[in-house]
Amino acid sequence: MLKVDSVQLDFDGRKILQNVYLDCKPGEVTGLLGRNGSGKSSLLKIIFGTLTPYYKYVSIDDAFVQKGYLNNRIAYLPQHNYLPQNIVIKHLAPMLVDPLAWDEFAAYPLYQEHQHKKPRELSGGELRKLETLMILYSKADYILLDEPFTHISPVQAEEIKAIIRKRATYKGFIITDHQYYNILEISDKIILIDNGSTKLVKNKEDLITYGYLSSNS
Amino acid sequence: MTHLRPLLFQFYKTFLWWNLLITIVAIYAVNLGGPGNVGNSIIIKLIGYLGAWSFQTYFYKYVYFYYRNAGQSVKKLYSYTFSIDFVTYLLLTGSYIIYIHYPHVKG
Repeated sequence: MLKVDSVQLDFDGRKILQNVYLDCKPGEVTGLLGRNGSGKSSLLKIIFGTLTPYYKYVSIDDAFVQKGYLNNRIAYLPQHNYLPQNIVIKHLAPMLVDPLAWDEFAAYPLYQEHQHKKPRELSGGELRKLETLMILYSKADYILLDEPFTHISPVQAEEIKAIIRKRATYKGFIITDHQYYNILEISDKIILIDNGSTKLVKNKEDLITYGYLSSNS
Repeated sequence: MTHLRPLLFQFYKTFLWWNLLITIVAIYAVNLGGPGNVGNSIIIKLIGYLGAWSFQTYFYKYVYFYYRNAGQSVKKLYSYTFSIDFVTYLLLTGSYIIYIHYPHVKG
């Protein structure tokens, strides 16, 4: 199990995260919600190991983890593109994709069609989807997705959700996105970041109570 | 499977031409000043590494997430690739000095 506890992060004296606790088991999808600037992306980067807070405790199966990305323990889809632009896709994909899931990944028309191209030759939407697929089929045990539903069409969002459901049978997912309805639909558990603290949300009414949603939503 | 070798190659590919150019300039410095200029030549190489690192970090930092998602530390990739490049530079410079300035050693 991935556990994140006692994270304290501040920027310029302003407390961003405090009293943070969340956990995620393989086979579970944890949705992370919060307003703009609430620290959702920062929390994912802290778990991944690329942002160093004042204090954190991150563990996998009760063993402390300093950098989550080392040895493929945790994979992370950032909000921005991440693939090197000057390397052919068929040379990049095997570095990230789980060999056990390779056939399934390689069967996607998007990969079939563009594997001989470089990332810079793809459109923004195609590249985002390809990068998302590579992370979803990553060999990591835990997968962090930062806004996977943003900048993609509703049809593509449905496709991504179906893959998450399939992959989540044996991997743990932590997902954040402003499209809260997608998060509510796909998550087994919802965590809201409010005033720097994590709160377990049981239903949509809790999101209204905490001021994340208006009563008209 | 960490795919370290192909990842090192992919990582180094970005700097290949820059590092090659700096190596040529550094060896040219030895050509101009003789073996006594090796110190300056090494300084040129070190400035070259600083330039490569700064350029990558400033303009293409986003690709670090690719290497991290492949399970690698960026610090490790820099140290491995720059070390290999530096050893290659030392071998080339040494060979050049022996070839040009100590031809009798060639046998």
